[in-house]
Amino acid sequence: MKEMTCAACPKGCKLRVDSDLYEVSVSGNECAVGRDYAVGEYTNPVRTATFNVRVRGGSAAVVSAITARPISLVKILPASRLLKKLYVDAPIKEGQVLFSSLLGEKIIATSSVGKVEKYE
Amino acid sequence: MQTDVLVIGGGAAGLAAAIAAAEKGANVTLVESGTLGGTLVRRIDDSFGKQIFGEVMTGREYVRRFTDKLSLYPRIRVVKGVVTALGADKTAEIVSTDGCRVYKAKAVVLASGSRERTVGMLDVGGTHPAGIMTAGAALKAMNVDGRRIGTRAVVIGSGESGLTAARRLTLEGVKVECVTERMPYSACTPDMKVYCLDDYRIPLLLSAEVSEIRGDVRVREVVILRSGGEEQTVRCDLVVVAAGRMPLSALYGFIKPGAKGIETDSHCMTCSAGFFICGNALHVRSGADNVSEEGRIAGGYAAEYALKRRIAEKAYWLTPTGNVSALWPQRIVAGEGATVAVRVNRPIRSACLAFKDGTGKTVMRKEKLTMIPGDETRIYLDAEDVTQNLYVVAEENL
Repeated sequence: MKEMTCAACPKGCKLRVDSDLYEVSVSGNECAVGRDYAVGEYTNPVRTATFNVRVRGGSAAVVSAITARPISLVKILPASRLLKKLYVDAPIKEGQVLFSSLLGEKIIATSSVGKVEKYE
Repeated sequence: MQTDVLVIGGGAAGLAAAIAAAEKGANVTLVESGTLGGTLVRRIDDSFGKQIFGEVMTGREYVRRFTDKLSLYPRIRVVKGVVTALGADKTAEIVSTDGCRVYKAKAVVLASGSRERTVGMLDVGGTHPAGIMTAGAALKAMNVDGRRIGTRAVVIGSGESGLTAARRLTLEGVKVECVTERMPYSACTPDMKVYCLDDYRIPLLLSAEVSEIRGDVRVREVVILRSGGEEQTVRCDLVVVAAGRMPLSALYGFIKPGAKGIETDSHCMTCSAGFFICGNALHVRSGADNVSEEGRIAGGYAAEYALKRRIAEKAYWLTPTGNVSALWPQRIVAGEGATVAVRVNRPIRSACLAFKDGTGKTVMRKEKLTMIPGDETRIYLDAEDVTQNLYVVAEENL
């Protein structure tokens, strides 16, 4: 049994979801959208996650990034921790694939960062 | 220098206003002191563009759409500078990198946005050491400058900016100990609470206030006062203040405000002819889409005023009563429909919004609305609906 707040509309119904071997049952929802939301949240909640990725040799210290598709909620925090250890090299164009498989998910840049030549 | 329309501020409202004015054929000067896009360039989360572009995108992509469009209009001149003075005769003194210039405009669009409440404006005691920042400053430090700003944080305020900051802090490796909210209900929509707090198991303390921030050099702990009078001490090294924003109104002191700030008609024109106001400079909102929509209206009518001296001849007043704490615009131009934004002073789960005439007779009702204080409810009124001054009241459906 799991209790949750419906996020499908501003009403925010309090949902109770339960399951046996064969089906997932939902109560507390006031509409059909709420049922679908509850089943999705109960079985596999997914979110589109956004991150900052550190940049090497760029005009900005970080580039903003987004997952290519909604990813499983349980992957988001591990992915963010992993990204803290990784770099990408400038230049970066908006829409460029930064990592093709970070925990199996594609990460795409949502801003552009120019390259800064270093003269030493 | 001469210009038709002067747009002050290049954020979500100002960009839309400049483009709309240029589309009507006016020469536009857009003044922005920072980067085009304003506070939106800090927003890397995807919660923008649903209404305007029909797809969800990040704040930066949203700004890019507007700046790409802006560059198509040679009529728009972008000035990187600060408006230091604005006169009632529509002259503006602008200080930029190439000196101080006076611009003479035919119409002015005020889109200067809002500023955040800082910790000094709250009733918080203690030593106030380093490590206290506003949500906007925290987002900028993380998303623009790529800095790590703390290890354990307490967020004051559960509005949209507080929740966004809490989620970003978590994803950047900062442990958010709790989010405190002064009111007994959350100031945000339930979906924001799920996506920003529940997903990351961040506790939300309702009816709780940070009463003291302690520490010698850096924040060491905060004291949270709960509703029953009990005190709770939370160890942290960062306090993020997201206690709301206020319209930036230093420039336009000569425009006479009403009881709830500046009042406009449905063309976004203030009571001073030729001065239009839009976006968070008028009233503070959570999303950018409604702000840009309002900017588009203000820019379009500012261009019409500048080029043809066209102003609305007649308008009807809308007056908030009862649970309705405020609404915009306060005047509906006669013979035109308009979208009205209504705010209530307490959450009403199943609300009905009634528009009544002077005798108390209900002219129009909108049923089945969910209204919360943190977000406005937008309702489109047809021209036929508004033929007299109306009073707006929110009633609970039982």
